[in-house]
Amino acid sequence: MRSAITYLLLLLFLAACEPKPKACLDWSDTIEAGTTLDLASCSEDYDFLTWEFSDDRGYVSDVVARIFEKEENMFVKLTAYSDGAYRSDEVILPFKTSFRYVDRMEVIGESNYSALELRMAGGIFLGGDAKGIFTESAPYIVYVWPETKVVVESKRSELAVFGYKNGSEVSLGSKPYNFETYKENPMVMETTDGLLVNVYWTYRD
Amino acid sequence: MLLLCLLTTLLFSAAGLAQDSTKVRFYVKGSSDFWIKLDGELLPLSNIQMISRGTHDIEIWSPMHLKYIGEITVLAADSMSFYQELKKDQEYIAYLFEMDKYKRKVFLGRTAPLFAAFAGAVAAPIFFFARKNWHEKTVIEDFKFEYFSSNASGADNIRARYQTTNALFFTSLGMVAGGLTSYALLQRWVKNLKKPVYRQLNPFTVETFEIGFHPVTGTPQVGLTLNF
Repeated sequence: MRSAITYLLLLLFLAACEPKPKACLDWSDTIEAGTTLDLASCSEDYDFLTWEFSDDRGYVSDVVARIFEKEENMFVKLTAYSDGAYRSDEVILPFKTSFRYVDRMEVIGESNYSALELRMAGGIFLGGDAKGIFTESAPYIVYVWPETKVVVESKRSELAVFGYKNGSEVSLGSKPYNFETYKENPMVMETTDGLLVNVYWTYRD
Repeated sequence: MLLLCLLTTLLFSAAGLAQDSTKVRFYVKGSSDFWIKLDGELLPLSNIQMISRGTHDIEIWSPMHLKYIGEITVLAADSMSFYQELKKDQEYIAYLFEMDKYKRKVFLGRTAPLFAAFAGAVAAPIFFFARKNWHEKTVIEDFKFEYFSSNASGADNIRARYQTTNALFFTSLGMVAGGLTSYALLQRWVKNLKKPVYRQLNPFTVETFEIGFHPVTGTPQVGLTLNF
């Protein structure tokens, strides 16, 4: 009799002691549009996750691979379910989608060029008065955003830098990038004559 | 002359010995054992007896049967058969009914509740995990139905399975709880039940027979008690 009651209590305990799942999203408030993203969560103690986006798309998986085609304000409801789905926890996260835009180019080092030019898929950015010694604290800067809106396209491309001296154009080197996977900010390259070029990108506010 | 007398005496006595007794085979319909009393004397335990010719008083008794009192006429033959069906003791029949009633009460008060509790205890964990599994599938199918335009009948089918498993799980729990509660409540009543006893005195000896039931096979068996 006593062992039977113990058995029943054990069964109830088994049902009750299962940890409550915790739904968690630690994304930044802006997510890149125009490229395939693997969206993951920081949820814990769950058996499976459901994702409901404000554009009426739903997913049942740990990681969601999807593209946001346009820039907009959205939200996602993430629900984490326990084994058996008797317990759940949900979190709603508003976010906006934005393409990556070229923000500015910063150059560090000694430049003998009257102008420096950055070329990449989607735009050419030229800055004059580039002669001088530029340091990390006082770099040579060519501003792009917000006057010019150039999207860092999600494809294989390259950054190329040119210098202008005495009216002639000199190639200072190029570096290939796969912008679909390369998400570092800034994008860094070194020219043939030792200039360090940092290209920053930004999301739309 | 003397030799003639001796021969005559031997012949007569041999003829007399040979013709006075007849081998009688007893076929008694009763229990496997039976006792025979012939003219007030208990015969050895055997169904073949040498009995002298003529008419004798006979008594036959077998456990769980009434004693037969009658006569046997032993004919002049090498052998003969005697068939007798004994009547069942009415007390034994009543005992069988009582025993049946007793066993039914013990089954209802002890065996059935414990069996129900045991069956529920075995089934509950099985349905517990099955229920979890089907509930998870139900939630996922509902979600898919909402977002993926999946088949509604598939979701309904899974929900029906979940509901069935859920019902079976709670039935199992009910069986455990109900069985144990019934067992606890009926325990005293079962303990107070008196097991019927059938005792019969062998009218020819000082032995008392008691009927019991084999603990494993459940078949009636005869126990022997000697009273002095």
